[in-house]
Amino acid sequence: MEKLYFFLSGFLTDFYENRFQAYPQIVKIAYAGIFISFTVTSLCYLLVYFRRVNQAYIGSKTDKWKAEIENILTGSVIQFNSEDYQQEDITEIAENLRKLPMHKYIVRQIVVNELMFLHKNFSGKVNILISSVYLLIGLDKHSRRKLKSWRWYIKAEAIEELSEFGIHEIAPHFLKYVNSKNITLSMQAQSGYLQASKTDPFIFLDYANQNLILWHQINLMEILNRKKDIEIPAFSKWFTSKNNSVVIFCIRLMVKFNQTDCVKDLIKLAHHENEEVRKEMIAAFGDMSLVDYELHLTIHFRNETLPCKIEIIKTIGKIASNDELNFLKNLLLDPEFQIRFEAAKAIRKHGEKGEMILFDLLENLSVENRDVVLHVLDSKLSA
Amino acid sequence: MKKSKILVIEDESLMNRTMEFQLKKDGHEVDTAFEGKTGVSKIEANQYDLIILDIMLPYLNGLEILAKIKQNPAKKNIPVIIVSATGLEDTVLEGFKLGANDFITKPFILSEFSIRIRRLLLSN
Repeated sequence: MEKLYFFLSGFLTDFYENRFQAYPQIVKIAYAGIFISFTVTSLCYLLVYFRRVNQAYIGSKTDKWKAEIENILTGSVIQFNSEDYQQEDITEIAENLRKLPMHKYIVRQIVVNELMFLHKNFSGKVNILISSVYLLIGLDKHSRRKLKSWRWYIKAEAIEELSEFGIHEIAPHFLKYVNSKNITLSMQAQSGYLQASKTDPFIFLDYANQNLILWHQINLMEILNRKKDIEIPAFSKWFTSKNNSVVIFCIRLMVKFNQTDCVKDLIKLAHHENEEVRKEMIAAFGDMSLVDYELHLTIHFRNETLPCKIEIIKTIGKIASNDELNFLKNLLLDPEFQIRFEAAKAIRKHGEKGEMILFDLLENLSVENRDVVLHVLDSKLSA
Repeated sequence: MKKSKILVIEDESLMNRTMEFQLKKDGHEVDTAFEGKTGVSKIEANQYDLIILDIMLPYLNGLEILAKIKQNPAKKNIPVIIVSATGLEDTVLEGFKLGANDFITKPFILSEFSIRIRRLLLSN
């Protein structure tokens, strides 16, 4: 080893003093570049290597704790499922979990994750038991601390945990993140507020100024489906929101809860500046089968854009009251192909009467329109 | 009721173990698989009285496994219960069309799960 050291230091000294100094400036710079690149690459490799070793270590530790925690929880869940459990039983589970090194963040987090999994997948007594255990071990404090983290994903996790276990009083804190620049945190804050708030779970809609993407709307609906004892407000309250996605979401909620009292406010949206809002409003008439408002749609038709016109035709086809068949018949002469096509489909949706009209029309139609009608009447396509 | 042999195919270990514990507690013999391919090879190698299937599984999903079971003349009469987080109408209908005997949507009550299993085993 000593020999190698002397050899290397001798070689480097000789190289620097006798050769490197004699090199032209450009070669010196090239050597320096090669040396820096080599050093930086080596450091990067080392960093990646140590990170992977660390991850593997944490992974193996996690698996070990996960298996142990699963053992405790699975046994407890089954043990108390068929019996009426008492406070002592909850205490016993909590004591078993307390035997774990709960001072370690990773262990606390695995326990929370496992409890949350059980809470999400089982209903009934198990669900209440799990919430009680979470509170008794004081894991809500762990989640509350996470809410103060500067990392957005830790905050999002905290919101998910606190809302899953129904910590109602913390819900107002979630409102701070409703308009976070980080879309995941913002969606989690909205879902969390809806899930956890007891008094007014929809108030986040007052603050939300970002686009509520469709995926998020589905998640919110899913939470609503699971939430019990919730007071449903009149969703027309948000029809005046400046956020168009909130208006669209509230129209969908209005339809879901069949709020016919809100229809008067819904009609006002016919003059909304946003096309998507108007389309959703038109579709709502069909989804709620509002027969009395079919005429409104036909009057409104002339001033509408093509996508909204098509939505109106589809809605009339969905309502199929037979009152607007003449309106649809006239549309078969419209210069726009899509309108003629949708009108033929809407007539067909009126059942036997619609089919009869289409058959009667066949003789007097142009070749192109006849093809459209024959296509619509094809039973193989409509099956 | 005689001891029945049940196979649980579920990738979430906590869920798999909870169902296993519950079924054992109800007096059944339980075998488990954590992904589709192992599940199918276990079905081919053993004779089960009932199969519990999750839908979202690695390698082969629950509906694909169900189709394989129903295509196999020797196994097609084994009752199958689908346990899934997705309650989507299309998925449920697809499951029943392929021949599933029951569909349990998560979250569910464990005692209800036991009753459904017992009822299905008795009727078969």
